[in-house]
Amino acid sequence: MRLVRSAAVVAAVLAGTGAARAGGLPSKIDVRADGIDFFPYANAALLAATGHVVLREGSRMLEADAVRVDLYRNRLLASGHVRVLGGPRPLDATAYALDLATGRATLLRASPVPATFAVRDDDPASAVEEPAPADTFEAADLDGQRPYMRSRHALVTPNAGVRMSPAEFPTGAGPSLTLPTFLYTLVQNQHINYSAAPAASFDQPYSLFGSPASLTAAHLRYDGTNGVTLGLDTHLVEGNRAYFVASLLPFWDRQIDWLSFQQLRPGVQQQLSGFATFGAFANQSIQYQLQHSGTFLKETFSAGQFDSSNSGQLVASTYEHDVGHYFGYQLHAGYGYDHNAGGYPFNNDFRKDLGAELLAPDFRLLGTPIGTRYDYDNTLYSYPHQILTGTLTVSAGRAVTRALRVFAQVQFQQSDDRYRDPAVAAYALGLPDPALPYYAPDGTPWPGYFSYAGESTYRTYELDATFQGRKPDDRIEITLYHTRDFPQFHGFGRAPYALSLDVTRRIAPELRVELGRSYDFGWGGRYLSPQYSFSVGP
Amino acid sequence: MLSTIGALCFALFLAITTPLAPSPSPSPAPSASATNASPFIYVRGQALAVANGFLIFTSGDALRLRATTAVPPKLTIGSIVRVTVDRLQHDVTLIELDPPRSYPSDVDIADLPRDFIAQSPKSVRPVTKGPTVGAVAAGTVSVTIEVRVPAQTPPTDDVYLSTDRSNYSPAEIRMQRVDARRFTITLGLPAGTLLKYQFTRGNYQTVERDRTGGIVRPHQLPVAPNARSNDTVARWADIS
Repeated sequence: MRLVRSAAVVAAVLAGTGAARAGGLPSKIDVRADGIDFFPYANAALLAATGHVVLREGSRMLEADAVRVDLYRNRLLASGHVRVLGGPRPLDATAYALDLATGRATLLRASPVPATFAVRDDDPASAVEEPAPADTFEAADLDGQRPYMRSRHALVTPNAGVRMSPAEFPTGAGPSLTLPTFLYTLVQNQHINYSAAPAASFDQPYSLFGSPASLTAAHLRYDGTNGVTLGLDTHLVEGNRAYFVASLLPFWDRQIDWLSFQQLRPGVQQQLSGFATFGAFANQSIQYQLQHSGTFLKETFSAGQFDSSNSGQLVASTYEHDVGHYFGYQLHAGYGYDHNAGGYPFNNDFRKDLGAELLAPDFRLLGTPIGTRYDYDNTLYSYPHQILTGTLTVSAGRAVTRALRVFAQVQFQQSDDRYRDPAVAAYALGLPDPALPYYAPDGTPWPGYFSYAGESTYRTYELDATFQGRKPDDRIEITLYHTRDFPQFHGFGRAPYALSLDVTRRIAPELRVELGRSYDFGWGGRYLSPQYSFSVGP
Repeated sequence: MLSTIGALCFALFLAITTPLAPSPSPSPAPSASATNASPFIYVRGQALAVANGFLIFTSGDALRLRATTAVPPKLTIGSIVRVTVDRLQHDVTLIELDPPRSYPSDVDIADLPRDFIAQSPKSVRPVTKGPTVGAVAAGTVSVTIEVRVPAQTPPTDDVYLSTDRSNYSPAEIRMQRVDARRFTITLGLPAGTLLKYQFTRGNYQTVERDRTGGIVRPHQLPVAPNARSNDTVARWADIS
């Protein structure tokens, strides 16, 4: 309950910062024209309106042949037969530039010769001829650039978003996609866009409503497990100091994920996250983490609950250190507590953990750099149980030609999982009684886990080749895996061989497709287990 | 201990000694289209408007149009133009829209002698240095991003690029391994844009953080031909 209250507090703090504050900016800008193109990637978010443009903001109405609105710098530039209404008298000009935040306006008249004037309150009587600052009429060249979306009506909320109705999306691959309305958020904070939901092959957000510090969006998703599904998420941000993200997948997944983060002061931050699933497999989890980063050490306190089990731990770790150019290391030590309500043979258990990552310097063999690292971790439980893991990883990568890059990695992992009493351990872990014969799913008698006294070895060999096409987004990647594990659970565990092929290709200026095909050989008693994957992106 | 596959992996590496192909030599520089003795000056700039017989540039400078000079119908705000100016008459005889290339003899509108500029004396501002014309190449160009990840990165994890182009989808682009701690990706992007990106290990909980665990602002890469970025991830959000 304490964790739930903490979550509520963090959410409340973030919500309190979500109120829109746009300073002297107008609350809304309404733009109508024969055509309005929106370019969010041209170093600025630009609205380019052409043909019979009518722009309204507050009491000001502006008509022109063409208008540009820089939505990040909040500047407006109108050109061609410009007429501004809303001041004491109509204001006519060849060009008109307005800083929306300060209200400072500059107009350019071409008769009898071009001249620039500073104007106050759109009052022609206040016009004072003077040189205009060099960037007053600055405009990006948009010729040849494809707009992100296009419409005849745009409604801008400065620093928050631009909504186009209807919104046409030129795809560059023939027909455009048209939606009745679309909101593009202008909030320049990456956390306003991240989703807390599990990653998907395809995830297209559809913004519903937002403010300078919040956004709520629907998501059209595809993943290999659930297929096409819909989601909903909401975000609250406070600069780069805090955020709260919650995602709801109400259909096949039936899941809520949420994540909040707050930087209390430099080097100290807390994080609260959790998920809940519904339906046949209902689970709830909540995790809290408080972290301090000092000069020499990082200390992390974390506590979590998964259904009726909970745990907490305190871990101290060093930063990554290099010893000259020869050697690198990082150490960590921790003390933790696990509670398993009603569990047997223990309800409460304490553990001590010590670990290290050791890195050897890269060395070259026939021109190929080879890197080596060793990871070690030793956990001792108060209930007599020890897990000791050592992993040696050797890897090498090389650009063979401009078009071919190869990477190889070999990993050996040795794990000792020692109990005082195998029978009790088997019960605790839900494994078959080692004293009784056991049969694998295909009916083959199998000696059981405890014939190896807790020793296990995992060997992984990986070879990866990437062929880069002439175009930067065109590539083919082939990866071969081979594993040799002991014990190998009679056809289960890791597949002894796996092969994957990924093809990436840009099929349109705004559309990149990645298709993957992978095969597991000899898994689950089957010779071949093929799988597809795909993702699309801009 | 080393299996046959492992031996083959390394044998393949060590056997490969093919040197990288040399990069192609640059194309020859364009020849000058005019000399100082020419009766014309060729001026480049970005158009703002055409009104009252003047071509007005986004710099605020204006040139008088000859009565017979045709104005391209597609001329709009920001269009890059190359105009031919008569040295004697001080007027524009030709407007080229979106010229495919610039020539060494072209003069930026900001550098044009002020006596060519048609402007009210009170509105004339001091000459500014530097070109006013966007020097950005058009179309899609190739950029490369390389990243070094922390020692604690699980050796078998993939690293992804998450960009503003996908609203920071955490598994947007899977990067290619260079070696144990470096990953790379080459992308085709619209020239002149600014790419903002972060690194993840495939989901939101594994986004990069700074050395003290704080939020990292997105990296930025101005997209230009063969632009390259070398970045470092100090820490992952899920690994302290």
